[in-house]
Amino acid sequence: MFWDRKRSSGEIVQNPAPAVLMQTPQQDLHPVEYIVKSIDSYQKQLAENEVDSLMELKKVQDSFEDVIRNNEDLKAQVGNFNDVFVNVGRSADEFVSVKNEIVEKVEGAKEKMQSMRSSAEGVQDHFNDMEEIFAEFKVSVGKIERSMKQIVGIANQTNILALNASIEAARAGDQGKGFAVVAEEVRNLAEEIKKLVGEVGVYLQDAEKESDRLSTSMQESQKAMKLSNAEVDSAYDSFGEIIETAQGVDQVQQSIARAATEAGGELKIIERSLELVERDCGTLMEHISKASDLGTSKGVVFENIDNMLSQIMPILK
Amino acid sequence: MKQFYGASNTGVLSEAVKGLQAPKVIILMSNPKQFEQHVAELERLFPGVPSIGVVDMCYDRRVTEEGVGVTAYTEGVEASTDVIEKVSVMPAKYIGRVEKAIEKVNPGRNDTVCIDFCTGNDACVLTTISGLLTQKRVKLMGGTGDAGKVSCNGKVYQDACAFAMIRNMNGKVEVYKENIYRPMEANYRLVASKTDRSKYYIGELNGRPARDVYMNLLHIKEEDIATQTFRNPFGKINGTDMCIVSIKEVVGNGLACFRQVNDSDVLTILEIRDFMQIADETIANIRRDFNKISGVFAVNCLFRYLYFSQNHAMDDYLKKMNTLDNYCGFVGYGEHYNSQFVNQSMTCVVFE
Repeated sequence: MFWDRKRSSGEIVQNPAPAVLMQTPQQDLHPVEYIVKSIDSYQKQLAENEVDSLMELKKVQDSFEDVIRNNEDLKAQVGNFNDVFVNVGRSADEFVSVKNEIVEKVEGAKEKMQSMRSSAEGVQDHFNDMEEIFAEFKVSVGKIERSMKQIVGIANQTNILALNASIEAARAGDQGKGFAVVAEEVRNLAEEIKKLVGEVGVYLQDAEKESDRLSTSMQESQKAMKLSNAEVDSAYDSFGEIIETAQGVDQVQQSIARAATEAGGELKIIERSLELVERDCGTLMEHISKASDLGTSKGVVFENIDNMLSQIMPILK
Repeated sequence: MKQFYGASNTGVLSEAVKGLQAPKVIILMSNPKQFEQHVAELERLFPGVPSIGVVDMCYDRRVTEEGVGVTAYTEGVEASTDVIEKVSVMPAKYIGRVEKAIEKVNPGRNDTVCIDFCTGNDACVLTTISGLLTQKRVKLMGGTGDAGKVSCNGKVYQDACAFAMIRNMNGKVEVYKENIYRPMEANYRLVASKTDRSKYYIGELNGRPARDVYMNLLHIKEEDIATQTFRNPFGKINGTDMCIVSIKEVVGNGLACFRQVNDSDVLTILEIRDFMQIADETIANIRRDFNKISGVFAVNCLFRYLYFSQNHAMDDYLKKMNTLDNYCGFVGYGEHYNSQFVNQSMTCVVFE
């Protein structure tokens, strides 16, 4: 043993042997016992320090687990935001499709109005034609009236002629009797013509009256139609304004979509940053785990030291 | 080499050794009442043959609970046995015996195993001898026996560790550890403190009373702790490896275990897996390493035996393990695997 070796090497020690070496073997063990106890105490202290450092390491590990968890939550929230922005973009796109639908319908209405306007113009043309026809009708009626007056004049002359003829026939006696009959027939015919012309004149007057009424009615219709056309024009213009306004949705949609895309881009950057944080935390956690594992293997070393140290004193005694 | 196994349910040793011829080394597995008698009788029957003995149940395809069992190796074997005494205080004093036993078998590469039976202070014994065994390329498996007694070469010892160095002259040997547990999903990391290694006691985990921590994490009552260890023992983390620590009982605010726990040890709580599936994996691992197997000697923890038996699965487990040729062994109170002292495990040595 080493204290024996010390004693045997006494020969080369120049100074007298220290008092401790002159003591009994039992007394010699005291410093060894002291050293063993000291080592044991230091080993315990080391183990206590290890407990503290492992606990601290565990706290660090727990904290980083929290960081990773929070980071994951944040990432999920950012992901949700991203979804929201994507939805905003989609909604903005829907604006456009709604706008397109409106524009399409308004355009359809415009077309119908246009055809209505065309129809109204057609009707107006017809009214104009009818006015001309009425004018011509009146002229014709005037001519007829004039012709009828001439007919009445002719009939009157015929009547006078027939009367004169009757008188001449009466003067001729029996020889004029036959002629008198004819003259009478002519006179009757003239009267009959006059009577018929009179009736035609009444009909013509009625027709004129009806014609005037129709003309008045047509003029009122024309007025109404003009008013209606004006309203159609106004509606047509309004449709134009609607379409113009609806086109403004495009700009709004583009602005929203641009904002959503920009926000999405920013979120992607944040997501990438979070992923980097996650990766770094993961790496850090790996290191902490390795450090922690190393700490656990120290436990076996402590146990081995403890087991070996615990045997020294019993063996020495 | 050849592995022999014989057993007698009635404790008749002559019945257990029937057919055993020219053994090179004998392993006796006896019961508490007949241990001394069996040790002496074995020495009479096979005088001078190296032997070690332990008090424990033994098994091959089925368990012999109260009788006696014998495992022996014949042909192509070099063996040497001896004993380490005073293991509770100074196993290192007898390290010379271990050195001599190793020298005697002259280990080659991966062909020698040390099978040991210990009465206690197992971790200290393994710490003491593992450095030497590693240096000499000797594997180790063994376990803790019952009744505080072991035997070596016809003599009974208390407070001792009997060991046999066995060299397979015709092939390799390898040791295995079967763990039927895994860390719980929460993967708790519990730093032990206020421990008393002499009493296998844990005072605190993460700075809180160990009893409360275990109860709270598993949501159990105090009276359930001793049985809950079947399903949820502690795992002592050693880097990437793990050794199982069984809970014995509640002591004050702390927990007494079946294995030493030290200040700064990091523990986790384990949960049981499908042990039949694990057995399949163990068999597959062994089959991958060995084309031909002469024999397998194993120690199964008493807690595993109890748990398997409660689940009426012990016979099925042994039947499965016996698909490996010649699987036999004993039921121990703690298992040894190279330098590790573990609980609730199966460790075994496989001879080519």
